[in-house]
Amino acid sequence: MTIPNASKNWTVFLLASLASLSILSLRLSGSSDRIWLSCEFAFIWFVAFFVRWVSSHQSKTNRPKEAAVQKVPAASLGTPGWLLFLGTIAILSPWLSSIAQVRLLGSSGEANELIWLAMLQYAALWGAAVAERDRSEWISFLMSCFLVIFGLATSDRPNMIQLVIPFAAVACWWLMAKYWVSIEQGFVASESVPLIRMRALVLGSIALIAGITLAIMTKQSIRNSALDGFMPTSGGQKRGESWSRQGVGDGDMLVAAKDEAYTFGPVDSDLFLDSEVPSMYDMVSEMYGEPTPRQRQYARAISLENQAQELEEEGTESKKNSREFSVLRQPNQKTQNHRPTGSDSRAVLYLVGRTPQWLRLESYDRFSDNTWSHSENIDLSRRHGEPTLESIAGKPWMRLQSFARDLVFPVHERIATKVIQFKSPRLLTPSLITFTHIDRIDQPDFFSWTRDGQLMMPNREHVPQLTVVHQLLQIPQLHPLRDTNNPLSNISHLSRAHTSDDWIQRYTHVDSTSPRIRSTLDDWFRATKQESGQPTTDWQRIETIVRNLRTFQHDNHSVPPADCTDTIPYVLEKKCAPDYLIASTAVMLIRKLGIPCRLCTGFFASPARYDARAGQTEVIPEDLHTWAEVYIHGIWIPIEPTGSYPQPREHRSWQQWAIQTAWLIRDTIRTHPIACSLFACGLGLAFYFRRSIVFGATCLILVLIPLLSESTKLRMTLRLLRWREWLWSQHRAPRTTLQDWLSGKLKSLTRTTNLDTATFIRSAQRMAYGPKKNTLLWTDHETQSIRSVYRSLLCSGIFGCRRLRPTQSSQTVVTTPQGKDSNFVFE
Amino acid sequence: MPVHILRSRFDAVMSLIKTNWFPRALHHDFCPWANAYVYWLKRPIGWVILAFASSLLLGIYVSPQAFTASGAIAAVGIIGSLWPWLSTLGLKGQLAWSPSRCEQFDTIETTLTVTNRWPWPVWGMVLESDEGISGSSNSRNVRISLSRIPGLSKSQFRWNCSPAYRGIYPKTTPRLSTAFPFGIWSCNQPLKVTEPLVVWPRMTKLVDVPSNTGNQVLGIGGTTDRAGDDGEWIGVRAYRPGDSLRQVHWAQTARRDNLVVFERQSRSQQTVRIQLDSAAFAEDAPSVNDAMVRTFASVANHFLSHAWNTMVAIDAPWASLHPSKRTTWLDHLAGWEPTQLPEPPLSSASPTQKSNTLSILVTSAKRWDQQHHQSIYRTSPSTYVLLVDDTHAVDSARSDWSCKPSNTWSIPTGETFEDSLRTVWREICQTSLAQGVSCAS
Repeated sequence: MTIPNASKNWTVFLLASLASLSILSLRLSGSSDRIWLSCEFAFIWFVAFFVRWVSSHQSKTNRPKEAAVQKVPAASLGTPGWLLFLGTIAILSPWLSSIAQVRLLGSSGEANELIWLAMLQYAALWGAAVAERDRSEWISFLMSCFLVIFGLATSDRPNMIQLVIPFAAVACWWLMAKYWVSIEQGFVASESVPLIRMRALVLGSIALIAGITLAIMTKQSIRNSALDGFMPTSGGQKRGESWSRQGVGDGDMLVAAKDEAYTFGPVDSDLFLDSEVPSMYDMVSEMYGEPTPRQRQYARAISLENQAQELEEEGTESKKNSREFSVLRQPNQKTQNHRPTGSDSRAVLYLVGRTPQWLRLESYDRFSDNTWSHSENIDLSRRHGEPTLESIAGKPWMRLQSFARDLVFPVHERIATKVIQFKSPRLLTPSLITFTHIDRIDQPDFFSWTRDGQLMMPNREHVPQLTVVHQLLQIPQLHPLRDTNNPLSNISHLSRAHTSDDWIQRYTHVDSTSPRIRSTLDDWFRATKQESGQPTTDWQRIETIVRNLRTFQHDNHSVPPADCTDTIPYVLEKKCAPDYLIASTAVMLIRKLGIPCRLCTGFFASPARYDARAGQTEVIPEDLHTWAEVYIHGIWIPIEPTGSYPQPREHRSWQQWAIQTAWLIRDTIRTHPIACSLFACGLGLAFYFRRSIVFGATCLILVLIPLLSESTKLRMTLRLLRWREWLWSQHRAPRTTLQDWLSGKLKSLTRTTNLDTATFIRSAQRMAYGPKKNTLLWTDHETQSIRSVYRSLLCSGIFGCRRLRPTQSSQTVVTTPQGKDSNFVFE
Repeated sequence: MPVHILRSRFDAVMSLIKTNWFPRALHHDFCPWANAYVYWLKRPIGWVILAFASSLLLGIYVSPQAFTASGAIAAVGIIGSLWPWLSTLGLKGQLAWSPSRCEQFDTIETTLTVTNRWPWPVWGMVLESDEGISGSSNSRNVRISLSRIPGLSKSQFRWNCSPAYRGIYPKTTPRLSTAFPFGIWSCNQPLKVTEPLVVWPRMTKLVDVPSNTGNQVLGIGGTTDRAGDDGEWIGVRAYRPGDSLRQVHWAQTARRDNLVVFERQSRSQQTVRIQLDSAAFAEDAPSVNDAMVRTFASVANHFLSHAWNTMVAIDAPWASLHPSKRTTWLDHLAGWEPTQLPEPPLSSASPTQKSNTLSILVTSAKRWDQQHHQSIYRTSPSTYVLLVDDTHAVDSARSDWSCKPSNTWSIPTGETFEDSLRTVWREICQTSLAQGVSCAS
């Protein structure tokens, strides 16, 4: 009994077995005669296995030649007849088994589709068992793949995946092995030399990785990065890290360390002594100086009753509580640094988010006797309403206020602040804040509003230090206010009827009666009207005021004298003042137009203090700042009248941006006509001489690059000439030989001798038409001519081309190698 | 019915099935009209695409589980296509042979230099080149493969090669191809060849040289004191009809009052004319074609090496071979291919050809049987015809030898071709000796 010698590869048999199992599971799932089917499969499989095993052992003893295996004539099969007969029985066994099931077991048998599948399954199995050629293996493999795909598609059993995964892995491996076996007989030995030395490769890889890492770390836009994560070890990145220690997003343990003594936290209560934390009053005094004491004339002195003393103390206390802000101050000569023990940072707070940012703490409506204060009869807290709790991304956020869609950009921006050393129950917030969030705080009554409309934490002396406050804000879009046809552009309250209880009236009251205010306004508006020639809206008038005030010099030490009764005219006259005075002036001037306006104090987060490594902005006591806010259709819009501070951001559409840019260009041209004319002339000249400039720049670059070999110089010369042709849109005439082309070009572009030119041309021809060799050897004369032509071409490109001028006076006559005399002169 | 009869009938039926019906069924094209639409299934990638499409359709219309299969098949297809492409992207190779000229079946060294400019290695490359030079000396039918080319490296592969066919290689651009890992899609990269390989036909070393100069011993080179038309004049003689008037010695003529002519030396270098019958080349007999060229080259080279004035012709006017142009002529012969032009006429004897000039014609027995040339060569005793025939035809030709002229010789192809050629050549020389010419060896 002989069995054809099959390949030793059992992989195809394994694949067929796995495919068979997948079909078997399909058959078993819908059959009631599972034992019968299992026995049938086991029997066929064992027979196939036995045939496979015998054939693989037989191949050890009488293995045919390779040629015989590969080139079995198609006209005959080497398989014995009895094996074919047995295979036929195996393939037909599902059909026979189904008949036996019906006749002997009385069952309903199997569905025809399953029978056909089973026949295909056994065909694949038998084919894998007796495969003696590559083609037979491939056919068996394809059948197995089909069976697996079909079984996977039609079966909803989870164990099908358990069969498919190993099948896929083994199939991939078999494909790889098949390809490898087909080529492994022809392997030849090799010797390899690395192109880059190992040391250079390793160092280069490290440098590349380091460079990429550095570029990623420093490339982030400093001012435009929205808050999406936090500093290293800060616990940000949308997941908490309990033990993080630095930055705004500190870990839970650090936050909890303040309340629970046993909790780990790098901050001990002794580090931040409440008594050493400055308040707003302290900071204002430190920054702007103490208020100038009023000189009081005493006619008589009597002792005051306790109640009066209490009132006096209350007044002092009100100053310290920042309810009053005097604009007559004596600047400090020394600065006191409040710094917590053990810390080198002077930060009052940290801000994560876009900068610049104006963080308001206090606002004043009443200006009397050079002092800003809060009116007692104004309670803006009622206008805001109580905060409401909302869930955003699974976190508890407090909705504070909403704004009209026409005047704000709908997309919210996010910032976060963390107070380090600042004592106040008020929260530092931007003007257009809409939501706020403190981690795990889900009680709306945790927040409330002050009478002047500032967010605060009630029933607390101050906001706990290291508390991270997340805030969402919106950006104003003010272009409708500039459109005279837009009803929103009317923001003045002069023409509106007010009742005595109208709180708006407090924000339009101007205490000063100096005529200078009106005259200044008239002058500025007249100038603006002359420039634009069009009627201006209220907002444009505000912009005019701000624009003119920004030309004033900002100097914190330029304060009015102590006896100054009305500081506003003083500022308008001197045009040099601290920021609080400039802001006060702006408020008064705007109020004069009947537009509600108020003074705000707080902190200015400067982009200059952005820490790229930590991704946060440090706010120090020197960032204390005073600005103004204008009330427009229910929104307090911040304005910045101090010239040394940037303007608050305003959202513009691209059309507005384009218009603004166009106006900016127009204004620039008007203000700097000579410079713009020169620039335009320069542009025109650059465009006119663009080709020469580009060619000259190319030649300049080549001058800086040292080329080592003469062959490279020759090639570069030819490339430069072609490049020049392309720049000037010149085309080489068809059927122009290299010699003709080069001689014409070099004659017009270079200043070399005819001998050098001819030698260069010959060298170029040799390079172009000669046998290809890696290196060409040049004679000294050829080297000299190549260098001369190359250098001359570069010089002509940089300094401009100069044609050779034929002259007839006594000159040197150069004889060319062809024996022709030349009358050209080389100066 | 006896068992042995049943068994024999069974065996007969099975044999019929195995050798006739079943293979015929497997190789019969039942729907040839569909070949134009399913030709893409001949490539493995076609099956992958088909399997992917099928599983995708099953996933859409039958069960979403089939998407798993389609995803796996797509992954295999994408990896199997992208990997070879990426592998060959950074490769540049160069193929060179040393020496660049050789004869058939000579062992030469082939050097393949591959530069891999990408940082990843490449596996499973195969050299695709012309048949005959793509394999090694040990196994000519197995293509050369490269197991691994490291990344960022320059690798050199060397092996010995025995070109089996004459020609100027490469006839097609050699390529490095790979289908690693799955063998379903291959990508290739062309190789540069610095200098082509010229494979001359293999020339058999012959020993004997037939002579056609009568009883006198030949001198090699220069002229001898034998009357002829070249060299110095060695004497005078009476005028014979046919002598040129330029040879008349007028002084002696005037003295003797009879025409007297100069007598000059003759060249000791004899002329042989060897012609290859290109019309005998047949596409279905490559071994005969190869053997004819080898015979032609061997004979011409043999005479050339013995300083004969060798004239050769292949469908063209006779060309004189010079030892200094041997390489050029062999290069031309290496690249020569029979054209499809109409059957060129065999060059008949030129008017100046003398009847005793040795002529050799190399043709095939099949062509000879067409009896086109017998009439030309029948009457010339110094013309020899070498008939190259394949092994099967030799037996049938033997029975017909009595019909052939005595100056035709058959050389069978096959493994004993060289021995047969030497034997035939010796017989030619002995025959020429028996016919009254001396044979110098």
